[in-house]
Amino acid sequence: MAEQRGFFSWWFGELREVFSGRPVPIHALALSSHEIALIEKGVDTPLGVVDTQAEDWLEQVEGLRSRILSRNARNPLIEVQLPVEQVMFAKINVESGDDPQSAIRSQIPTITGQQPEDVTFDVAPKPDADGRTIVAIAPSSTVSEAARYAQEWGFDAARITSIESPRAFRRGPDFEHQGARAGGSILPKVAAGLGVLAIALSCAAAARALNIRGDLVQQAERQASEIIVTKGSSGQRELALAEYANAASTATDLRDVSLPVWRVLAETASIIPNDVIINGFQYRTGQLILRGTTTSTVTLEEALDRSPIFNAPTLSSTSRSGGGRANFVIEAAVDERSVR
Amino acid sequence: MSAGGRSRGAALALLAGVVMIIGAAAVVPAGLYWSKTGTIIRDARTKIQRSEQREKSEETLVRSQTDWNRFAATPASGFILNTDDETAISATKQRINSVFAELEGTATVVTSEAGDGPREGVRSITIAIEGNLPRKNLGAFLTRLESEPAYIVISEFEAITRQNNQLRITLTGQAFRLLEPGT
Repeated sequence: MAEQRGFFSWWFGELREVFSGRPVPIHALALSSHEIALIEKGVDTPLGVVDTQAEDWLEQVEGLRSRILSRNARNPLIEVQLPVEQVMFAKINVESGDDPQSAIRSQIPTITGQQPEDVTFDVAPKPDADGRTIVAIAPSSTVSEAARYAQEWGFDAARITSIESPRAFRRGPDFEHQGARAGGSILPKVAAGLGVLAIALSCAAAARALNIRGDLVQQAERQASEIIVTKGSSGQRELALAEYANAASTATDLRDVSLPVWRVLAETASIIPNDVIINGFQYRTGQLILRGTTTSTVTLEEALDRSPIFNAPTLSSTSRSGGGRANFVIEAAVDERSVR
Repeated sequence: MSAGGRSRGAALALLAGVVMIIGAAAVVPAGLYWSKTGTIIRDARTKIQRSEQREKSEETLVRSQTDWNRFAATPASGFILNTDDETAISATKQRINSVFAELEGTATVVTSEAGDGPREGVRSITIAIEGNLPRKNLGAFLTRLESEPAYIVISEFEAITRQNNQLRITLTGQAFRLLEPGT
């Protein structure tokens, strides 16, 4: 338990020192009539105790100091705790509206028998259950001596307090004294403030983003729920349309890919020699048969052979006719690809 | 921890650690919420996009269907625009006779029949014709049949010269009729 208290005392002390800009000691020198104890705040067991009656007590104090000497060789920052008999705690009624400092100062002679300038006092942050102000009072000379002793022994007295104090003083009374380390830089506070601001802005931005995200989800779900799903496969309809389109283009497709007879007839008329008289023109898909008379079947055959449409012209029969002419029947294959 | 082991840096590091733990305690639930809502939003958007795509696809489908119906109902489709085989055969005969007559010829239909077409949804009207035609009109005759709707694809054709520049024409051809979708 003591270990835990010590740990948190150290941790919060360091953080308080960093972010408050004021030095906060984590060690204390507890003074009593015959002893000086070095303690770690929050830990009951002292790190070391020096008997001031011993001959080498100053060396022992230096030994204590060396135990907490920081690496930068700066004097260890400590809290000096005054012995119980040097500190008085009193409860004072302060009328509402009165200045507490003035009210306390006016009552000090009555309480202590000392003049206000001869004592140092500190006021507890909170009054007691009866509403009375709790005041810690110590002789100014004692406070000054304690600070001076600490300095002579090589310590830096961050604050002077008492060994024991009422719970109203959360960290013990803080007696002002000469030589207290000046307040730290404001930069850590600024940095801490900026850090907190950055975290707050980040949290706000994240909250805003999550809120928008939630709205977006609702909007998307609402739009999705408004979708009316039509039954039936459009794929089947597309297939049916494709089949219908294929059928609907049949007539034009066949016209485009078939060799029309008028083209065969026109090609024949354009290539046959002038002396050829055609008496019969027969066309079946892929085949042409011509009947007629001519003076030269060879010339006709050659003419057909030169045509890009007709292939392999063959005379099926020839017979002599009058006037130096010959009857012929000639066949030729028709290449339908050549006219597409 | 001993006093010697304690330092301001350690105190600050400890504070930073505590802040991080507290921050993590706040960030982790927020992250989980973010992830969960992200999944919900993504699913909803996917659903909406699919719905929009389905609507566009539906519109395209309807528009395409309308366009094809309109095309199939016009002579440009090349089909015989009759709704049954009998009237289609009759219309084809009438058209061929009309062409013959306009080009100063005569025709006799030898056979005519309806059957399955070259593609599904198409009926084929096969017709065989014999006739006479002036020689000078042969080209126009073939062009009218093959190039003007309803197109007739001629599979067999024969023209034999007769007296007085007349041609004896024999041909077999096919015209096509488009069935209604779903029939």
